[in-house]
Amino acid sequence: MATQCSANCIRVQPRLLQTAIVVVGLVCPACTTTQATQEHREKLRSLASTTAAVSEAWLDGRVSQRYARAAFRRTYVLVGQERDEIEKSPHAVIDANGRRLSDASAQLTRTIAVLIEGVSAGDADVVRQAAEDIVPVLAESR
Amino acid sequence: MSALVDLVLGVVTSIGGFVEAGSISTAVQAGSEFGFQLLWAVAIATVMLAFLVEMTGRLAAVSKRSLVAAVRERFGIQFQAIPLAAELLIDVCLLIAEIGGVATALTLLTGVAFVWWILPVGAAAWFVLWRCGFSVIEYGLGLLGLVTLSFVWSTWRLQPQWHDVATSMVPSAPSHHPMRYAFIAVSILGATVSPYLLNFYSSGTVEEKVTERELWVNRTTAYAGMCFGGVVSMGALVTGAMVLQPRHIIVDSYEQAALMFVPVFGKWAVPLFALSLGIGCFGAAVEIALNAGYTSAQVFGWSWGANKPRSEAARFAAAFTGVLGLSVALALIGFDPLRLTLLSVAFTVVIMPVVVLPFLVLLNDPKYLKSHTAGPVGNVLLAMLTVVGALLAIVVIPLELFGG
Repeated sequence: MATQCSANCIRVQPRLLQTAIVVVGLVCPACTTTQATQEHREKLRSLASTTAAVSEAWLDGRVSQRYARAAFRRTYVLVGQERDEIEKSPHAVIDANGRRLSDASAQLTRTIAVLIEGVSAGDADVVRQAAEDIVPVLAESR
Repeated sequence: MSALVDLVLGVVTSIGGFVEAGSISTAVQAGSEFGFQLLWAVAIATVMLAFLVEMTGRLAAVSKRSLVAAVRERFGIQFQAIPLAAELLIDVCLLIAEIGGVATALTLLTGVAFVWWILPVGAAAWFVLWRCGFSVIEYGLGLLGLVTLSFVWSTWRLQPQWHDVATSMVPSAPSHHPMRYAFIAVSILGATVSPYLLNFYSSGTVEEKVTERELWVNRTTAYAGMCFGGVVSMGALVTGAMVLQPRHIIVDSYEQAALMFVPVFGKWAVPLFALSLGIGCFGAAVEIALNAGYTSAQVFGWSWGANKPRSEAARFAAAFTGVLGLSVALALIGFDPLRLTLLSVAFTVVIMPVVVLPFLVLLNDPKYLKSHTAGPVGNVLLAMLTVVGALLAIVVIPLELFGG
């Protein structure tokens, strides 16, 4: 594996070194990308879950219209930021997992927009229906 | 009798004044991401703070000098230049975060956009600073801050497994995301052991003219007040862990954090969370701005005192007005209050050794402490804090980059 050189130093065989560099070069970005995808997935799941929790609480009459609207608006901004982050990486755009996450975030953005309208109009039916659309997003981000 | 009243008021207001933007956000994030696992960090930080506060109070009561004034006298103004600049920078960052916390609370209550509240909040803080003496600021805001006990009440109502809570007081390896775990642990320390709190407390001791005979009041207030305050922080963590973690909600905004009260308080959940956040942050904003005035005046040798007429301490008043005005102006530019809070508490950790090291020297100087110099326990604790603080100061920036 390694040969002893005259000056008592360790000399790694060039071919082994090249292989190691190639393996590390291939594996590291993959690890980083996997980790990044996982982090985006967790963030998206958290935002989808927040949207579901706020919708439920509003439908149960446990939070005010003011709060629900403010919470949805903030979540809408955060989902937008998350989507930008996902699409920043070229790998995520061509990778199937990344694309699915990007699509899920786009769907969540649309759902939150409907929820904001529904809550503003005080329309429980619209909110109930839109809240059901969150389920696939939650499933996608698991 | 008067000492007893001071003691009760001191303990009660310490509890009410303990929770602010930094402690709420770090505790809720810890709970929502790691369950009870980071309770040990809150416990350790609280014990550290209690010891430090007792020592700064003792120094002020015996020497009649605040911490900053004593450091300046003992080490000279050249030595003070860097800590002063660092502390003022952190004061500004923390002040922006606290103003943001109050503005967010008002948004939750009224629905009016966050940015419209920044100027009124800044004006209200300045009005309190300009019109009120130290006692009103400390006791008044501290008593209002008792609303934060709702974190303890919610914990009680949620009935956690107390065995799990107790075992979480011992540090354990994280089940996932080790960098994030370490970052939040360090942030909890930075949010709890804040340099502004130490100088604010010692300046208050000088303002209140606490004597050597009342050192027992100082000791009891520091230990009991801070430890009960720590329980409020733990309440925020446990509530976050029990309500948000099972739903996989990672807290990125105060709007998300407000949801943790819904199962316990129902319709009152959001107003109670908003009041806890708003009052806690407002109290902290006033104290931080006042501390900026104290620090500047004590370093440059100006007349200072919240109890003095403003015309007798004009430069002190100008200093807190300037810092508050600058923070409001920067806040108006736009920022994410939660992210800025986490950034500020991380920077607090960076300057911790510069604050603690001179304190260690002062506490062993009989010129300042007479017969009340630090004993072996105090010295070991401060030495440990200096070493741990220095290590944390080195790792906090990489942790901020990779775990923040």
